[in-house]
Amino acid sequence: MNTASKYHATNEQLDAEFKLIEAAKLDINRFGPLYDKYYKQIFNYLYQRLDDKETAFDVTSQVFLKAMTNLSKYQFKGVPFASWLYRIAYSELMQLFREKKAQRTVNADVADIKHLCEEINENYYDDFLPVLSKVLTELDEVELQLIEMRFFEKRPFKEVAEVLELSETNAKVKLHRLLEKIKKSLKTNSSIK
Amino acid sequence: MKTKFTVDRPKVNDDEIEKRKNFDDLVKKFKDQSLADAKAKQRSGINIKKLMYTSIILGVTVVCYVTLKQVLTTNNHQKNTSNTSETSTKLEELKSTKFIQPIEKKSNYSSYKINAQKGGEIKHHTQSVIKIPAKAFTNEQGIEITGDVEILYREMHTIPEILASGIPMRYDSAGIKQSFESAGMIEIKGMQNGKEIKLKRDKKIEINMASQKTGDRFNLYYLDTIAKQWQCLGKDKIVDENQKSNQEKNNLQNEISDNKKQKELLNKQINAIDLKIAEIQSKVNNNKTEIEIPKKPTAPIAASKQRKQFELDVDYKEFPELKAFEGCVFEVGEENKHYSNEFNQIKWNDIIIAQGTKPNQNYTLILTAGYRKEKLIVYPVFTGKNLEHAQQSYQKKLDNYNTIVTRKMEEEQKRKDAIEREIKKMEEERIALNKKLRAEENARSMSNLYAEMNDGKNYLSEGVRRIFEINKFGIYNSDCAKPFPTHTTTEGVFMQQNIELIPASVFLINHSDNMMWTYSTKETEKLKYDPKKRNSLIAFIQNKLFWCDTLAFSQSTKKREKTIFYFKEIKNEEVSAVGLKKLLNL
Repeated sequence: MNTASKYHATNEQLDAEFKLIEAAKLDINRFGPLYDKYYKQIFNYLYQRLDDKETAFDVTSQVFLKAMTNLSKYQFKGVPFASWLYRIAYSELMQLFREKKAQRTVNADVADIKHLCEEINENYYDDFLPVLSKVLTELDEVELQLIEMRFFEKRPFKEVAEVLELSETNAKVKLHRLLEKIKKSLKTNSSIK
Repeated sequence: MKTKFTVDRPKVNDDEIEKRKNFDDLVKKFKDQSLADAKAKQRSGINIKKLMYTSIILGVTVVCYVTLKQVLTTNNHQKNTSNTSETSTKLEELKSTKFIQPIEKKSNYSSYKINAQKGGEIKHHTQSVIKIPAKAFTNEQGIEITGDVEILYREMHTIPEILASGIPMRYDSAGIKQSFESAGMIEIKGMQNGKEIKLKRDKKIEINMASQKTGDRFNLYYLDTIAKQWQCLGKDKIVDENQKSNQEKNNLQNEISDNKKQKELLNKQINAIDLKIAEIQSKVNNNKTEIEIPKKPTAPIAASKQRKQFELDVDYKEFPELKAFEGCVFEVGEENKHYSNEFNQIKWNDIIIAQGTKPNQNYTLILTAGYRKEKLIVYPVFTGKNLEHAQQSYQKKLDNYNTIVTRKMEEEQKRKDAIEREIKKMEEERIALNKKLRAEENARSMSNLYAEMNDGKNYLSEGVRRIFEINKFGIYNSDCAKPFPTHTTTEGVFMQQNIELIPASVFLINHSDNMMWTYSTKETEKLKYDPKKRNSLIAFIQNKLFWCDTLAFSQSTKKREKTIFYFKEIKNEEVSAVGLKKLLNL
């Protein structure tokens, strides 16, 4: 899945967004431009991790409703408003999975899987998929998010770090270790060698 | 539920996503939910109250515990350091109950009067300008305010000023501990009749803050005192002060000069009034009329049948007061216990009358017969017609006496009233002049203060103007968050001679870069600083400040992972922005 990042913004864009947020804090009807701007991004983020399209749409609405309810508590930290929305979305997803109201799903395109294989210096074969699927679905949630955001959603490290509330260096180190771990697991699990 | 893995799942196209957007429905849901939440809050009001009372009791308990602990700490010279973390935790709790702890007792707000309907422009002594729109205020109930309102405003620019204000400068973000480098902080609030007022949602106050720090690395922050954290509001607009015309600088010089002249004039007027008041007051002390009051006449006494009386031939030249008793006889007083009928049988050669024991009431009669000499206390009394005459004469004299006394008293009261009226008028005039003088002195002293705190420079001489709009009263800060130093880490132990100090907060001051970082007690277990810089520490313990100066800091004793820093108490007179500025040499 190729989700080009619309996350990063210039200082002017951040200033303009900040004004929109402040206006919405005073009058919730003015939240509209933020809703329009981020609706698709949040839906895609959710649908990437869910099996059912309708559930993804419902959760998207829920995320924006929560954002509106808690807008007065929002603090501008010099990063796009999207990072706050992603955190709400992530929290909503975890709630769904804990309550077993939705199926945690990992969605990937073959092209993305090939990219992941290149990163761990492995050749891609069709029969490689079941093994990779097993290894990925056994990762913990943060590890899975790192792989999804970096390889299946192609997000830059800065964005991955901000959404997962890590430093950029920490995100890089974690991903590096994770790839080593995947490589090791693949060798133990697969017959491709 | 096991995680599912899918490959090349069909994507949802943009049109479908676009069609599913429904902002109106979302707003409706939001409003319904807000209403439901409000009703739920109303229902649980009593529980909230209970919770509040419980919190208050808990808070008071914590304060009492901490105060007791602090007293014990000070008295115990041999305190075991293992108690430190427990006490620290309690002090942390105390600290959390008071988010802003001003060190300087004296309030340093400037007060400005603004007509709420007209709005207006305030020129602060730092050259900052506050533009207030018309009809901008409401009361607590949201009703628009009319009439005059009081705007209380202050600015803090330097480390001593910020330290004295007690406003926290910590800004921890994404797990990184940071402290603010301020390009100027302001606090603004509004009052009417002693009650706080609010700014209308659609009205904004423009703050045009004079700042000596140039550069656009500063963001604007608002201090949320309820959430106890700074909120970033974005960038302020910067106007370079050096590009301004000299006109404004000249205006300031003229303003200061006018202020000086005005102050001198007011002082002269007050001195003149003081002299006049003193002069009038001396009149009060000499408030005697020329009317002389005669001696109060003595009422004639009727002779008693039971007591013996004498008739005497009195020389009225010698006893002029007895002239009033003309026709009187002298009655032997009861006090003459030695008196007997024998006295009437003896032929006395000589009888002398002298002053008695009660002036103008009785006399001493000295009776001599050969070697025998007797003294008798006698009273002038009247009998028959003489008594009537004496009473008539007495009444006349008494009437005359009373008339004179009343006239004198009336005259003196009139004079007293006139003098008091004059003094009251003078004092009112003096109060008005003093008020004016205080206002002038305040403006002047604030100008001096800023000049003093900035090496004689005022805010017009250099720097920029930082312009921003605010939509609520409170504390705003133009800041740049700076991470804590990372060079050396140590566990700080703070001593004053042999006593270990357990401060609520410790301020690390880097004198080389003019930076300050705040550590809580717990955090001083990992005190980080740059040893290549000139550092000092200030510890805040309840209402007292302690200082480990740059020399003491550099000479601190290192014991394994711990470093012992020696502090001395800062004198009360130095616990102010100006005092700290001099002490810290910042």
